[in-house]
Amino acid sequence: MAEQDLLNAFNDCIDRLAAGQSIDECLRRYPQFAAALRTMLETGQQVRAMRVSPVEVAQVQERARYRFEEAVRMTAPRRKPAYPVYHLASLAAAILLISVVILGGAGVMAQASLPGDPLYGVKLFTEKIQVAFDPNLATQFDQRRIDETQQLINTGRTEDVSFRGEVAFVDATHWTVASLRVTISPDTRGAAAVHDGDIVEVQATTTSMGEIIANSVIVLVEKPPTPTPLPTHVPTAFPVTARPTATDTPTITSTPSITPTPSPSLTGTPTAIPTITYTPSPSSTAAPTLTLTPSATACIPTAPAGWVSYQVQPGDSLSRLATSRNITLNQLMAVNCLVDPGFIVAGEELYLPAVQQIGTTPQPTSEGSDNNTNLNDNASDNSGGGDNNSGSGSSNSNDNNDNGDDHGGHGSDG
Amino acid sequence: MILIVLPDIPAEDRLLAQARQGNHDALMQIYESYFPPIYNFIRLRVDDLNVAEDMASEVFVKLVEALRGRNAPQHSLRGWLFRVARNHISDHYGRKRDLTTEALEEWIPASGEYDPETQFMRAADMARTRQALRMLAADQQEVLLLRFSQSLSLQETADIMGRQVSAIKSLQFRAVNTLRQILGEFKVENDNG
Repeated sequence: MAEQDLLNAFNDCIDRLAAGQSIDECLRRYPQFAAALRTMLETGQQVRAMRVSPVEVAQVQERARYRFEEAVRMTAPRRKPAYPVYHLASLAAAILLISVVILGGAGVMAQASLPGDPLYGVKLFTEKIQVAFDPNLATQFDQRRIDETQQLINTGRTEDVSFRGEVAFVDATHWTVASLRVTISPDTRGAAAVHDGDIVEVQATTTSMGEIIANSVIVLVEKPPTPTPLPTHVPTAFPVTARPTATDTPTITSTPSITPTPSPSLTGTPTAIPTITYTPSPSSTAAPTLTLTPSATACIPTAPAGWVSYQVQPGDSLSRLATSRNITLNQLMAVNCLVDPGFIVAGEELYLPAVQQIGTTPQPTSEGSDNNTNLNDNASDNSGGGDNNSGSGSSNSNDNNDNGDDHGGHGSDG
Repeated sequence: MILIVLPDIPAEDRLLAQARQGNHDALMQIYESYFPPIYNFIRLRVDDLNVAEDMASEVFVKLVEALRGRNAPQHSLRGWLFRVARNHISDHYGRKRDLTTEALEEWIPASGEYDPETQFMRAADMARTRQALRMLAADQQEVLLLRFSQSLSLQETADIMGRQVSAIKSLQFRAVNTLRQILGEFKVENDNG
């Protein structure tokens, strides 16, 4: 039982430490386990203190971002469309292709077709799709129905037609709908419900005598009950007639493009890291690396007067760097916002006092500006060994010396 | 400087829902927020920077692919990412079983390299924490990194590792005590040498 209690106490303290409490605060809650808990929690805090250099994280994140964006781009077209209109867009594109490519001029013929013509269905279908994109086209197409009916009458064809418009009663059996004279028979369905001024949809049949016999009438919009007519309520002022058609074939090219263009708004500037290097003044140029780790503390590395930037070389250790510049490790860590003295990575930038006296090991005397372009190369060349504080074997030491010589060469260039 | 990403569950789910619908900004925001913790987690288990970079990158590519398909994560995005990262690490070490020990040889700092200052000894201790951690079994390393380094909850850790909460509770207890022992032995060795 006691062991179970200890397990629980330990677990509770882990959560409390994560929430920002101190070890002592938690130990006060569990005085009976204080001794055991303390060593365990201190060990745990050592794990917590381990971290990868923020510079390395930022560099890797920057490099990997391209691959991520590429993956996003590759999969984007297969995404579920955010709006159903995309479905219609591809449908419309297919329809246009059929009418233009396969049928050749038939697409144009469909545009001129009348009710009863073979291609009239294509015309209506195309219009339906166009309306899906631009509802304003509906009034334009309503006018087409009226024009078509008028053409049928003029040529004396007998066809079933359908059109919309405002009703004006002429006499008991004749109305004017839009500009068309419609004959109402006792068989006309829905006629009784219609009032003068309503907007209706009429299903009718044209006759060879030039008559339009209404089969059914459906009221779409009732006439407003107010005695003063609305501005739109003018005889023949139904939008169909009020708005003459602008173009005969509205284009579909205004559809939203299907391929999304990724916005680079969130990408960091790759130049952010090198700029840290050359500012010995206490500027805040180090901030960009911190913004990439949103939860990082507010500690911003700031170089005191006389300190310069230094790029960590393979084999460097913080303590050795501190000794070589005659400062304490604590100073070095405080200025550079380091919490883990055992974890520095080759290529990382640190602030150090300007060199007056070089230590026993060969080190670049200063970092010329040219060296900074090598920052990435250094980091990747030394992968795996970069966080090595030293070489243990003789072969390792040789490697380190080679590297040191290389960098010395760069230093003298700059 | 402790990397803690405290989960904001509603925001995370919202972000995930947007990403599932193909929202580009949401995807990029996921990348910006979650890449650092995922990379930290991987890098502390994998010495080779290039391998770690590949793995972290792969985790996020997997996410994009998963969001396209049917096995898209519905919730707990962070848990999903860590789970995939964990599988990648397991695969890596499954293929190269002896890599851990090789890497360790390189990692052990030669004691002569260090100054006898006390501050420096603390630095050495820190370096050895990582070295000692590598000597633990994989699941013990994972539980310590997830609970301490990443500050994940017990439940999240259990979900990621596919175990019961009670099992994680014992595992983290055993792991931290093993680590403490190894660190203690290092200290003795160092004092003698």
